[in-house]
Amino acid sequence: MGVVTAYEAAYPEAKILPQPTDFFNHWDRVTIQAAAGRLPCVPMMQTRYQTRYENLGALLALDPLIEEGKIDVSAIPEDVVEGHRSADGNLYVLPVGLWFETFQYNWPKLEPTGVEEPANDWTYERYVEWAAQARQKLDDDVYPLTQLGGEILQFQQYAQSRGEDLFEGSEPGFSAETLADWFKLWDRAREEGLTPSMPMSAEESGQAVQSFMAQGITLSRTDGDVTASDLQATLDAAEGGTVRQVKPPNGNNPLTSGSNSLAISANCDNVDAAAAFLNFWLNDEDAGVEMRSRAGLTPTATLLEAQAADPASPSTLIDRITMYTGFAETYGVNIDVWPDNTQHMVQEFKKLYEQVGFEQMEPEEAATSFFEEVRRSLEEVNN
Amino acid sequence: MPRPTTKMPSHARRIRLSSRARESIIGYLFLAPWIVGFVLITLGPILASLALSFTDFSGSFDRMRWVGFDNYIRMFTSDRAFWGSLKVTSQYVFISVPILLMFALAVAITLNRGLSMLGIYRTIFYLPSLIGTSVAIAVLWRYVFGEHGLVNHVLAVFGIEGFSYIGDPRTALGTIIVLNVWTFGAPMVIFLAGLRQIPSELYEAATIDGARNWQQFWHITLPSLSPLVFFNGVLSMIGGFQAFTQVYVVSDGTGGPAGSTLFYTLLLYQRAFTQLQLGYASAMAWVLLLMIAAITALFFLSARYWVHYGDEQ
Repeated sequence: MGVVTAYEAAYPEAKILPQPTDFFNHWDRVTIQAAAGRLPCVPMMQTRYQTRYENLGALLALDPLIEEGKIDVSAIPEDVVEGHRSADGNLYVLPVGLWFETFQYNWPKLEPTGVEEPANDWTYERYVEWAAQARQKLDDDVYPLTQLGGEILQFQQYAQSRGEDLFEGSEPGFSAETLADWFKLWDRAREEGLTPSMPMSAEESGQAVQSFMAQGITLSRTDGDVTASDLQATLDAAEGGTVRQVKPPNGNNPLTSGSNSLAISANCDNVDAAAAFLNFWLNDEDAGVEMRSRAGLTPTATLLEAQAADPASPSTLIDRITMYTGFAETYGVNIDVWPDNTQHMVQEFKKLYEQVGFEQMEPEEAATSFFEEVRRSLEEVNN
Repeated sequence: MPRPTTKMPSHARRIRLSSRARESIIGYLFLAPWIVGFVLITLGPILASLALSFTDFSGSFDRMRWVGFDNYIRMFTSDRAFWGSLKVTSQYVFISVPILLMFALAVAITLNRGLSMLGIYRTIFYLPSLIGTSVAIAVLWRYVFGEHGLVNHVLAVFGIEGFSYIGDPRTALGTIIVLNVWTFGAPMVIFLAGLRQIPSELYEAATIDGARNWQQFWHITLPSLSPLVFFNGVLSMIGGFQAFTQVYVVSDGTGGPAGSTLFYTLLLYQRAFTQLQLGYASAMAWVLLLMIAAITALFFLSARYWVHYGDEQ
């Protein structure tokens, strides 16, 4: 909203009509709007969802607008822009907020145990060993790990650490064996008391501020980097604590980054104004500094530097910028755009792991089931 | 000699309407806002969804294809989640509706025994019906039946260690059933009104004949209330199959844990708005409609055997 206000201040003749809502309601609404051919001129997209709307023909290719100079992307690293390009060769979205998963832990709880701090190049096997050491030193009612067996984004880190990924073009990028190993890893962690019980974990809220780590029940968790400041604020208000973050456990592989992005709808009848707004968001320095968005880090290098240099920027933002640029230099960044018809995999994955955890299904059976579901979903789109 | 022409006066050419016809037109004019609303907002979308159920509509009419009965075939042959949701929803309906009716009837009978401050009790018991389907109550339910919820705090007083009833697939559906039964106020008020209509002479005669309380209930109260049991049963069953809000909030929209609360409506919602399979979701909606219609028809067919309207020969 800060950028909208800044844009209207810079261009008094322009009027933006925002449609604010929460994340999931946004997608419900965009779905209906796309079906009715009445998307707003500048719809918000995300790397996990954008392909569906691209394939529906609901978005306008931005390449001509970039070539005409109406949208300037010169300050955005080329690999970040290209990472958002559709399989049909067109660029339909431009990122305005980059985010990445991190492993978060509460330092004042870990420090007294004498157990080493996690490192950027760790894998999940290493984390389970680490948790076993911490378990012996922590209070009985504090678990070293949050139960992550049902988190598909964490499985993605695990698969990457084994040279695989979630998707490989129009095929699953992982093997059923790798997934079965993942399920077994978390089953073992639970049995050894490294995570809360299954019923307890099933009850945990996905919101950082209501998470078990925020409540002091677990020592660590994983989430997007943007959640760290909310988590820290909750800990400050409660028993205290300091959130530290490291790269997600995918070994030495590139950082997997998603983005919140902006597009222009195919039904927009004011494309020039929409392009001007995108250009403003991506390039106006005052707006960039003003934004300090919780939707992610700005991809525009000059704006990122301006935010980092701004004394008014909160320390958590500076930390995120430092972390992102450091990971990008050391490991590289991979923009992770999900294929069409895979958004429901998040819940399907969670459900299957819960069936394993509640002993309704064997890990191998659940892994095969999920593998087939991914394959079937990808096939549906390609046929 | 030219024939004289007679010109009819203009008012004579008007169609003469009978007063009954005029009344009908006026009636329809008054009904028009509702009829227009019904056609545009209810009937139109219903028919559109029927047409869409035979397509692969996923948000773009340009790319929509006619797929015939494919959506229906896929539903019954290869969608495991469909069968899972059907099982969960059936368990919910066929367990919670009888308990709901029995509980409502029991409370109504208790309140009908000449209690003082009946109005206050009736209001208190009716309140959950008003707020029970709200998001706020569903959120509250998570805390009541959670690991550190109210139920476990109460059990702890008696030295009983509880667990997360919301988080365990063996009990998660049970908590939603309890939530539904808790909203017994509406059928209770209807039963209470019915109880007041039963002539007291029947009970007096039965008492003189030596009938015990249970016999009076079985042979007088229940048959007299059977039309209301039928009415409440049908409405509760239909409401049960359409239940969505509570389970959406309690399970955080997932139908978890382990799919134990994946209601039919929730799966339909996921298929439509997460997977954008709007054609398939439309087919699911029509299957739900047919199931409800079939069970309602069974209710009506069976009614002749157990519903007594008091006019039987």
